[in-house]
Amino acid sequence: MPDLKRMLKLALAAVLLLPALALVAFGPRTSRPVPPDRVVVTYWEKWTDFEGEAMKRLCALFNETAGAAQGIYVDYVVTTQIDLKTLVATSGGDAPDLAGLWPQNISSFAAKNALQPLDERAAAAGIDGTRILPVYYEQCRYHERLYAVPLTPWSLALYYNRGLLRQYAAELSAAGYSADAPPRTLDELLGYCRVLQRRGPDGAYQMLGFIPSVPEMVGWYWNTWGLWAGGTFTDPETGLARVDTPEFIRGYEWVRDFLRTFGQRDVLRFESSLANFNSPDNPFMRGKLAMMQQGPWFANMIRQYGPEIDYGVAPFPTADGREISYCGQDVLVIPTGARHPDQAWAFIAWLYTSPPVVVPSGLAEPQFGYEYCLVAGEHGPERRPMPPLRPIEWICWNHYKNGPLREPSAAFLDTHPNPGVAIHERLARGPLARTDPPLPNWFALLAEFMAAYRDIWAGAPDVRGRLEECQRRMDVLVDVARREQIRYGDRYP
Amino acid sequence: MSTRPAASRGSQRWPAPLVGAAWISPWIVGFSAFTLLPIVLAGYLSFCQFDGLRPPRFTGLENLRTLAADPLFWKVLKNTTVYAAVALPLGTLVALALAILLNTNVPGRTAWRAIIFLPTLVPLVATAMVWLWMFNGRYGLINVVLGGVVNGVINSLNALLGLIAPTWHIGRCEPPNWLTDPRWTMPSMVLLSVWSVGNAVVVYLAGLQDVPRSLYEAAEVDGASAWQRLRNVTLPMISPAIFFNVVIGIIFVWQVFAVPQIMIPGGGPQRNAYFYTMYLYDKAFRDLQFGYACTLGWVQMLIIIALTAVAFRLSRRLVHYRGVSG
Repeated sequence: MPDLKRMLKLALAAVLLLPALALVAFGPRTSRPVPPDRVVVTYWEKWTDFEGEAMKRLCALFNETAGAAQGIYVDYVVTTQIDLKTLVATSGGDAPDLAGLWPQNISSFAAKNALQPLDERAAAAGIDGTRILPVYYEQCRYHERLYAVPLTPWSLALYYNRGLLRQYAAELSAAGYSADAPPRTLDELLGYCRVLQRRGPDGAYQMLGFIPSVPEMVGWYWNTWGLWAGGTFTDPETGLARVDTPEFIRGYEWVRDFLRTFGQRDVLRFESSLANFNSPDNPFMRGKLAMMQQGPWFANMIRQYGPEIDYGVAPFPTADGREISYCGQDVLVIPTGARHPDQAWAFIAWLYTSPPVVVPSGLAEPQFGYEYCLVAGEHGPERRPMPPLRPIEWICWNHYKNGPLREPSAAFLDTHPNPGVAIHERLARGPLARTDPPLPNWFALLAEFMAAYRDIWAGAPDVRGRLEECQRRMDVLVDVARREQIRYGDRYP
Repeated sequence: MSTRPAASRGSQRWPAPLVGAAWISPWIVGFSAFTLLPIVLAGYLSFCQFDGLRPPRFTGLENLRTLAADPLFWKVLKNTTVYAAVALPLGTLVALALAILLNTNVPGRTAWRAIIFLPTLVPLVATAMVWLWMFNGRYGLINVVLGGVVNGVINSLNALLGLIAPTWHIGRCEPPNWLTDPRWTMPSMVLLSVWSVGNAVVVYLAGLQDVPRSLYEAAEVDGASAWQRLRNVTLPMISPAIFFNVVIGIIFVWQVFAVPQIMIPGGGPQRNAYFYTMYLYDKAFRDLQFGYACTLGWVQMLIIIALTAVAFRLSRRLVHYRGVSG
């Protein structure tokens, strides 16, 4: 009996051990073996889906061409919560060589010495303010030093369903508006919305012209309403965050007035009925919303989920009709402690300085954006071979975004898949192109601001009072941040 | 007669305490490295400014002074206290009621037990996503049911009222926008907390099945009603189980985080569902104020310890162990 017990134990141990050994011996291996004698540049990036695939293909092209010549291999690693993970890795002394962050991270990370300054490298490669659009270049700087390089920039605009507007042409015309031209001012936007609405038998909205909180509840761009009314996030003299200015009060009073016009309860109920943004049930695709505040990537979503939609792109309506835009970008940084900063920079430099390239998809079937593009022809879109583009333009093209360059190539603009790219480019070049300010604690300030917006959206009647309260709380956060920076021998802002 | 195993021979060579220590050493190492050391370090960092990247700077009591003057700290403290004060008793009552019901001969008792326990096995993210839809203002199951039932009752009442006086009429009920109306965000989170009472129900059931039948029989002979049997036999006999669940509940409700963080990040309008741990997380990982977050963490731990101590103190009077009172 004892022998039987021992045998059973041994058998159990074998059952547990053998799969583990088999996994070690025959388990999965990296699908891309790195060629010998290459320095591996670890590149953490947030993108998945078509955006990630495009960047992977671009890295592959680099690895096969310039990377092979220079002995560099860029390893693209998809990383969720990239800012937090980059922070933890940098803190732990195991930072990636390259990281694709959000622009709001730049000042926060740079203030904590977590990023390598890139001024000298950028100047040597000519990747500086003379080549990059000021709105994007300045956002990459903190305390007069360059810490990031633009990768894929964007500017916000108004996407409108031209077909839906035409359906309501008579009503719009009766109200003094044109179905062929989108609203230019906030007052006009409200006027269009008064016409573009439809209720169901139960009295609930089935369609609205616009809703400030979409996409997603509370919205991605809830912070822009002060900008559309002519404000800026910071006091131009002090550089400190300021949200209780007359312009901001006016902008957020517009949001309150919108709710009052259409009924706060009904609007919130309509809002909760709207499906996920990134899905075929997107309210724009379903004809539930006629207009949206959106970035250039939206053109790709329309191509995927609503290719039949006749749509247009225009500057977002503002209080006085001037062209204002809110701009942002995805950026590349080299974190402090990166093991291969020279090689990481070589990849960045290649993105900007390489001769135009065609990026193969690696698939048997020709792919849009890789092997071919579509250009307007006499009988509709015509298929053409994809023109060679500089890598930085190619990645923006494939993300449907405008580019970061002061002088974009004709091929980039002429073949671009987003019909509104010229608008996005123009807005980014405009004198009133705005970005989030380079404040190290901007996320904390933004959270405070968002709380105020949520209250306004939930029906807080006193917009001025709520924004003033928000400002007082922000001032406290600024004092804390200033003390912290001074303690480390730095300054704020 | 069998020979003694090798392990026993080994234990003869080593003193028993050492053998015991060796066996639990993996846990001690893990606990020391991943729980005790972080607690101690957090204690030190709570007196520092620390952003996770630069070396911490000792700032004495500054974090505590900031905490005392931080309106958001008081807001989340109040929210969490209200949540705990309602969710814990409600959860205890519901769990107890379900356990007592399941302890009777209801048809399909085993199936009911499984159904009630099942939600505790659902990952928190999945729970949050499901409840996001349950609470949806337009299409949510709760509002569909609520609207249907309440308006059905109102329609019936209106029909009756119409017989009495044709002008009398009660208006239709509009179910709330649970997650966007500041008056309903906290109640929605409290309601949701009842979703996962399965663990407590299992503990209560075990306690109930341990109550000697003879006590009920004696009570019945003495003419005790069902309520008297519950109050004087059942509750005292399962009071250790109730005490255990209350202590565990105190710890859990004071750390409520994942579900509201997913469903109402930032606590919704007026921050009415912004809880302590959410604020702590935001301070640490959004604002990178790890020193201040450590202060928040330590204050939270002290609050939980204090509440648990109060519970233990009360247990001396209220909890009855078999053959021993308190």
